[in-house]
Amino acid sequence: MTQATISIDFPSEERLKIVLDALRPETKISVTSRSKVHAEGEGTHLKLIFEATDTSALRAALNSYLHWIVVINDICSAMETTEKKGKAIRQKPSLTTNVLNLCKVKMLRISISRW
Amino acid sequence: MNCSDDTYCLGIESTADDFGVGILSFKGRALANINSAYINPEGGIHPREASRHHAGIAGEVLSKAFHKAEIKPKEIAVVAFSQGPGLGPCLRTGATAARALSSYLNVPLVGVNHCVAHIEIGKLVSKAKDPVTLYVSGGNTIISAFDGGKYRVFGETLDIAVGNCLDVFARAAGLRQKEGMPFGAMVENVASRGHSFVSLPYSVKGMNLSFSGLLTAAVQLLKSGKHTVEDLCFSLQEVGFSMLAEVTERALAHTEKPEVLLTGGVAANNRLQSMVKSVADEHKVRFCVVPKEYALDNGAMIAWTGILAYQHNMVIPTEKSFVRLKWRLDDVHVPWVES
Amino acid sequence: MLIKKGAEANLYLEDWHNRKVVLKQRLSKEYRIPEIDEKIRSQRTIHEPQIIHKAKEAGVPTPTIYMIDILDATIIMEFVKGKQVKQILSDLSDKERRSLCRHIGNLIGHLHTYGIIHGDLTTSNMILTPTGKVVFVDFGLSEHSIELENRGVDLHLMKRTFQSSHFKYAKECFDAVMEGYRRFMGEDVTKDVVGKIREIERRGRYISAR
Repeated sequence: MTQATISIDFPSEERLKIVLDALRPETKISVTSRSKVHAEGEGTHLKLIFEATDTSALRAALNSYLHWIVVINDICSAMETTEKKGKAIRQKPSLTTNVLNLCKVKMLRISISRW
Repeated sequence: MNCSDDTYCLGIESTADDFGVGILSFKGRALANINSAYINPEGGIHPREASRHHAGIAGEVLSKAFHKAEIKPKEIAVVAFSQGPGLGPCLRTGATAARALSSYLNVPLVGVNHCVAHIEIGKLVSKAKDPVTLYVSGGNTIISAFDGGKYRVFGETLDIAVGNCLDVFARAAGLRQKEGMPFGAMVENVASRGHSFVSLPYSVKGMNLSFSGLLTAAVQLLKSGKHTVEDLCFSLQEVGFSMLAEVTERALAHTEKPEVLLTGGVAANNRLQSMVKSVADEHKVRFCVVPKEYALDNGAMIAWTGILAYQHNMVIPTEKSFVRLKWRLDDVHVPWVES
Repeated sequence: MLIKKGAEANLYLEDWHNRKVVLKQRLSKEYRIPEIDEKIRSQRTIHEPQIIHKAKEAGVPTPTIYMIDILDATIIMEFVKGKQVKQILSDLSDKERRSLCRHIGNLIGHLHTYGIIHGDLTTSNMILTPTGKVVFVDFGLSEHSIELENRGVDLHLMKRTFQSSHFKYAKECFDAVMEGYRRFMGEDVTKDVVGKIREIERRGRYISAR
């Protein structure tokens, strides 16, 4: 078994609620028996705990969730700019910087352990 | 833009290689229909790559849709998304985006069946009331008609979709896909230069169809080098579409519906249109073909079906909004259609 | 007199040498190119009487064939008196309906054992005669096969017909058909066929492009 934890601090509790609303259903149904994911939030802090039978399954799950977090934040910032009547500007940074920048997250930590 | 009808639904389509956002008024006026296709230059869909594409452009497509619609986010009353059937990674990305939006805007969420959406938008734009629908795309080949609260499936493919059959053959023939020129259109193009018919297996089983034998035979003949690509494309279309026309005709004769509705990506094919129109003319029923913008996978169709479902209280709680990869058309109750 | 304008063929009720006959004429379709049109019409005109005859050998009532005309794609056959199962299914009591469906399942079993796939097992293609016989008509899409796949497809269509045209009793009817089938074919074969039907249902649901 391989395990990984992603910890992300979001700028507000509201933003964390949106992230949890969007991700939770995905954690409830497993598409594969090779990995499972648990999401928990406290204050502005999100913790995603991944468990997988092997590293490639772990990598796939991590990638999916990181992409989804980017999507959620893209959606939120698109809404914010639309509300301000401004035009959204998009740049295409790498996935990690994307998560960091666009989420305006204070901290992103990924720890992987094996047993 | 006039704002007499000020309730709107935003729909997100994400079942396969297209990601789309549509905004429609509750009266059926389309304010925006922005779609972005994942193009694999090698052809075919790679589900994970397609979902990455969707993840990358979701925010941008959403912004464009609002910009086009010229409405404010708070004017959205409901968010709809394609809940299935489709490719897992694509569906899950679209669903995640829809949940985030519904949560952000604090409005209800509606899960829409992709196949129902094709029929409903087709009815809206073509003004068909109660058609036999031939829905042909890269992922689906379904002949259906409404009866007793549901769209009943009268016939469907037993193996691969007709669009998939054309795509795979085009790839085998070395045609390359490019933006705005899907394989289907290329096959049509090449077929128009073919004239000599090559016999290929014709497989109709009752109202169901099979395209895999047809594809295999066509690819084998291609490899034999005895026939030109033009003649094979021509023959492939003639046989495959004759099968579709026959089954559509059987459904018409069986149901005695007053209209035929042709939709899906393959509906853009002129030869198929002329065949289905011929069937409609013979049975003296109206032939309706859905314009390309609404026949291809799109967000508008999800928004419109979302409105119909929302008006019948078919809202789903966010925490139960799981995607449904194999959600059948005939599993869906459609209370908005009058029996 | 035209009695049925079908998708594929027109059926006329005619007097032919003092007999009431059905004249089945396969129509030329404008939408098909002549190469496909002629091939389909002549092939089906030759093929259908052959299979109808074979079905009789299998013990399944079918109309008697009097004459065929390949060039004209016409078959002259016996007019079977009775009603389509489609028309009467909802008028029956639950018990009668189940018993009729079991009988249909049994007849399908006869066909399959004899290597015949009907190809269009709908309730419109089964006639219940006043004497209580069920006569299978329209073998236009039938083929010779003992393959599990084809048997599955055949019965899958039967199931779909119930679901689309008789959805109120779809389950009980199809279950009864399968019960009749099982009684004739035995447990093992039926189990395989049922598995095949499930597989076909899964396949048809959503086939993702490769």
